[in-house]
Amino acid sequence: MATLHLPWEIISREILPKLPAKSLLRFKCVSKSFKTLISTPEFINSHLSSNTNRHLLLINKTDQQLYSLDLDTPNSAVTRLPLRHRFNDYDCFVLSSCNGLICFVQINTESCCYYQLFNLSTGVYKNVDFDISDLLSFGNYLNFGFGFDCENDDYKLVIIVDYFDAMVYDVGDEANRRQVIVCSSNTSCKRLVVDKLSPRDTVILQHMAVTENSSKLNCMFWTSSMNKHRCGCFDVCGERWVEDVPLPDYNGGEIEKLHDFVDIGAIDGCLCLLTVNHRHSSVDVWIMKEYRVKESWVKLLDVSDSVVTRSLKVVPFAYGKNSEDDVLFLKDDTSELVWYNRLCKTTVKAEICGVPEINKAFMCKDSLVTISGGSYPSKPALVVVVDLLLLSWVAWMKWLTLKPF
Amino acid sequence: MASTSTSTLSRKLILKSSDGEKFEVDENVAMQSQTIKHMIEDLDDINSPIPVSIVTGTILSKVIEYCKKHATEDSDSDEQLKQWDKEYANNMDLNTLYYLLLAANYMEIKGLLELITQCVADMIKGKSPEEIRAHFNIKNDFTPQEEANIRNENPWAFEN
Repeated sequence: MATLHLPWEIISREILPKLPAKSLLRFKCVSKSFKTLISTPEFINSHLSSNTNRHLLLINKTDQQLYSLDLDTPNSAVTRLPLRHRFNDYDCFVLSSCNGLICFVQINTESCCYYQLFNLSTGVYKNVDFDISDLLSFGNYLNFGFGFDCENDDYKLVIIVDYFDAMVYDVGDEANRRQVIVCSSNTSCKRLVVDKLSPRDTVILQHMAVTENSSKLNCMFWTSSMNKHRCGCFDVCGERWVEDVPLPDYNGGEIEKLHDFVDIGAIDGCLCLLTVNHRHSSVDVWIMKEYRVKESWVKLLDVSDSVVTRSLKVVPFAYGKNSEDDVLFLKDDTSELVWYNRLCKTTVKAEICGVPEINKAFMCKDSLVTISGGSYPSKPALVVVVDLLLLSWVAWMKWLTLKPF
Repeated sequence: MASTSTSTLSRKLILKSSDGEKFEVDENVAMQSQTIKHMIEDLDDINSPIPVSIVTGTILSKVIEYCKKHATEDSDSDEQLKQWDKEYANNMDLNTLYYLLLAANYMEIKGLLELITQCVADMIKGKSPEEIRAHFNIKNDFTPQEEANIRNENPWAFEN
């Protein structure tokens, strides 16, 4: 057979969108057609949806820094992101990632607060100031979320503010009890949403799960009058509360007791719940395969091994590269990552050298997504090589303690 | 149209390659190709060979091997199937892979197209721009100054 050259249509539509962002940035200088293609919004979107490259992000307990690594390549290097911030979970914390952008918030009591969006694949970042000094008084309960307004191509920070006294004693009108503040990254505009649809219930967790093309923020509430949970949904595009998300039938009924529900999150874009089943002394993980379809809730895991259940406080956040039977958890008691295989019911420690104790772990897609008005740093995020990483399936492999810096 | 009372599983189709080679396959194997699916719908006589005009016999046999594996609903887990796919793609030389890619594109076999394009992407992701030009036979139409400017926009992308 003669040497074959592939048609441009196949190269541009089928092959290039599957490459990692770093390769694509390099290939911009292959030719003018490569450069033009890789810069178009259509290509950036197609790359976002068809590439399977992903980054695992970790916050190290000891130095409170953010680290990244390639979960799917064995022996890949752990890199520390060159940020000056210390993620202490108190006045500086990472919210989540969407479309390959990571969002973290810096709260300052004396000056203006800001949040930063950054793309760790390209290094593009943007700081957005917002002023919430009037809300930082004692007793107010702030719940932060981050989502994408696909209609206006705008990333938004969402803050649910519960005025403690008014909520507890049920006094005043709607505006005195709960407000939602939306800060647009495009316009740096702060908008106040006072919505009658806002659930008049207690927020349970101080975080929200992002689903539906990153445009819906899901938040768990406890309705004490009816003794049950509900999952409220804030629409980032419309900037308003929309209809509740149905919860799974739990033990044949609703999730009833306050402590039956443990955590909410998202895995591969699907809403995910962690609940405790007291009758069987087990922990269950639920996945909603199709957003808002109650019947699509499936029980992904049913763990009764007490060693495991004791340490499961957060939802799993990633599937294995080759199989959805493997899920990645952060163990609460030991601050380490474990793979759990749902068929064999076995746990295997994920060996990560350089980050011995993990405070928070989440996934971020590899992407070329740009931020309107964003800047390029002189050096992008992923260049500081720290230590060699070994993500091993061999649980008993000797644990190497390499001190980060 | 042939009688629909016979079991669809047992129906056979004949595919004819560009170099005249004929292959008898189960209908459910061939139907993974959207192109063949549409051709059958317009076909009066199901027994006449279906021409797969741009695909040679050597390549068509490999396409059929893939379709057979993915048509059987046996107990293979996702993981086993992925492992099979990996070995299948790894056993091809580059030229075969490219002909297979063209065949999958022409025959509209989504799974095979995904598999081969991902395989090519993994193969080229670590290459330099020079290697990519040679690999895809692309002419560098930048002036040296233009190329240097683009390199300077993302110098780190050229580091290992």
